[in-house]
Amino acid sequence: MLKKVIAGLVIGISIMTISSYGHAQEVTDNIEVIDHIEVTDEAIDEAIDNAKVEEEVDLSKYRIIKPEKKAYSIEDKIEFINGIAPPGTTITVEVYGTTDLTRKNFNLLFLPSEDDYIEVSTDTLVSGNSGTFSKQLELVTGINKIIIKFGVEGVPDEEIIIFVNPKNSNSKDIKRPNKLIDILIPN
Amino acid sequence: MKERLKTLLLISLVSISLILTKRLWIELPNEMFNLFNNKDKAYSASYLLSDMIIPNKYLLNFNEKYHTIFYDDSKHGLWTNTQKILATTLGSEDIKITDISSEEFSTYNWKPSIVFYFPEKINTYILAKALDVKDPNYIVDAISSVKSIYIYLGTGDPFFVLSNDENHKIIYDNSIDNEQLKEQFLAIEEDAKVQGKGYNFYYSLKDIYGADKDIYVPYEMNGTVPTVYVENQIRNLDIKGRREIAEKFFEKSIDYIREIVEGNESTIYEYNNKVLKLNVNGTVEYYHPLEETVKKRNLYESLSTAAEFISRNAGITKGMYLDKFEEIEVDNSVGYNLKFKYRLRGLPVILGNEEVVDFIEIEVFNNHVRSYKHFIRKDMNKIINNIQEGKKMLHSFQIIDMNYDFLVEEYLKVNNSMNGAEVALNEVLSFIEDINLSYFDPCLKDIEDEVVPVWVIKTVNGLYAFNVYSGSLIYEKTGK
Repeated sequence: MLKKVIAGLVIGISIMTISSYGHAQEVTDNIEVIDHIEVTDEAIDEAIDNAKVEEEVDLSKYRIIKPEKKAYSIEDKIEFINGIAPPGTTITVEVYGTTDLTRKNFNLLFLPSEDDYIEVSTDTLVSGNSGTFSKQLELVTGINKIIIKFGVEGVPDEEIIIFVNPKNSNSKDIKRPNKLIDILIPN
Repeated sequence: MKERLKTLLLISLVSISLILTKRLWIELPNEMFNLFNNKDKAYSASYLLSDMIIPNKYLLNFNEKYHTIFYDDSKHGLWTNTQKILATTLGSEDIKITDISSEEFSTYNWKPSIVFYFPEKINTYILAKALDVKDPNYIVDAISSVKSIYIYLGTGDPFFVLSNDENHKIIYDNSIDNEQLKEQFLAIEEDAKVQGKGYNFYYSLKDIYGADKDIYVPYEMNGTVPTVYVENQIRNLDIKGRREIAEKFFEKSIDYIREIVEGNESTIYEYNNKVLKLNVNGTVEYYHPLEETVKKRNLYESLSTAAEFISRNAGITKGMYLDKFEEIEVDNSVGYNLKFKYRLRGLPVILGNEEVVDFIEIEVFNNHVRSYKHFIRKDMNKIINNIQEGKKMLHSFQIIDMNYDFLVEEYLKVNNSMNGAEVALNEVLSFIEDINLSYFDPCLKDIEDEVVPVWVIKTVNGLYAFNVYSGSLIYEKTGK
């Protein structure tokens, strides 16, 4: 048992020593031993880069506060979004809507394809001194897709689907032609 | 015929002599008799009293998400229409009162409703009397002071919530008829949400950022605040105008009043132990020492006396509202010190004059006004056409954001055990007690002094006024 522990310790120490040595080589750019550690150095560089990204991008600092849900429906066309991001971060808010002229009757269970969306607005916001950003959006009736881009590598874009379903928009209030023939009715 | 002419001539001569004698005499016997009825006259100023006790902010809750705030209700008259309903409830015999917790009450803003916020806690009995309620019911005992009045305008039984920030009383009354108010409210909601007629939506700092207080702020701002110019009315008055003011105060001809003109052009008038001083800085000061000891104070009587005094002497009462009142004791007499502020074009005014803090300060001992100080700044009603292009009004959260580091510093003055990096956003926002749109009068010029529209952030430390266009701090008053 003792032998196993000692062997484990020796292996552990040797691995740590090699890593430190390799790192030192990278930093001091010592060419003398580069042939011996070429593969190790690349791996370490990659590891360092990954570590840097992880260290620099704290994902908890980029967050949407409102809305809390990723997909939901509302009755009115005005919607407030806000979130947090480190001061000075440029955030892009893109709003896409569907005119639904195809009469596919999109809803939260039957979402449009990418081709069905048209751009409604794009706004660029800058996170303020308080580390917050906010925007009051004007949406369109039907399905709206909102994409919030933080513009920071490693921070994923946020996508929110909002179905604007006005309270009184039923077939009695809005008479739409059902078929092309309906439009062509003679006087 | 000649005799008749003589008789007529004689009658007219007697009449003229009587009129002239009346002018000459100080008090006719019938006027002396009227002195005994002066007390009733003082109580007849309830219209002015109700005008003074008016909210300074109106929160309209359309639903959980949409809220808007008015500072000027003159367009809609929501308070005027609510006053009648409230007066009925305060005098109704068939009411039901229950308590609700602060947590529960904060969720009531998610229901269709209007909340009227007063600048200061108002005595409920005084409120009832100001609304001409002859015999107020036990609501005035259940909650002795009111800071805000909530009226529910959704489906189901209508109700009020009277709150003084600590206690909240929900009041049901079968006689509440809010149908007209409800229609008006729905029309505003339609205009705001569907028609987009320039209304700004406000969102709760508590709901959005987890702040302690339910303060509503906009994140987008439509419209601008009108440019207003004011003038120092006293300095711009000639000696004739000043004498007219003195005659009005003392109700005597200037021939009976002693006049002293000081070197700095301030004028002092004196009559029968009463002193009036018209200062060149724009203040009118009046002093009338107590003639007898007042052992018991009466707030309603004092307010009515003040209302009657101001309406008789001040001239400008439009936009004036009671801001604070405190109990005072002078020479063994007890009374009240009442402080009034005023609004310009519907927005409250903050004075930048270090010598003068309040628009009107008046010491009243029931039916006696001991002292009165009035800072007169008059709206010149100038019509401004040259609105600067690109001059966009900042919303209040933008002001917080632009001055965030400053607010953190102010917060740390109170919480000095922490350092700046440790302070969370919701803690800084919880430090804010209220945010209001106002005008700031810099009091720099006697004529054409431009008042500055400001967002006023009230915190535990004091208040800070930020220019609504530039976001810069232009006035601060720390220490409560």
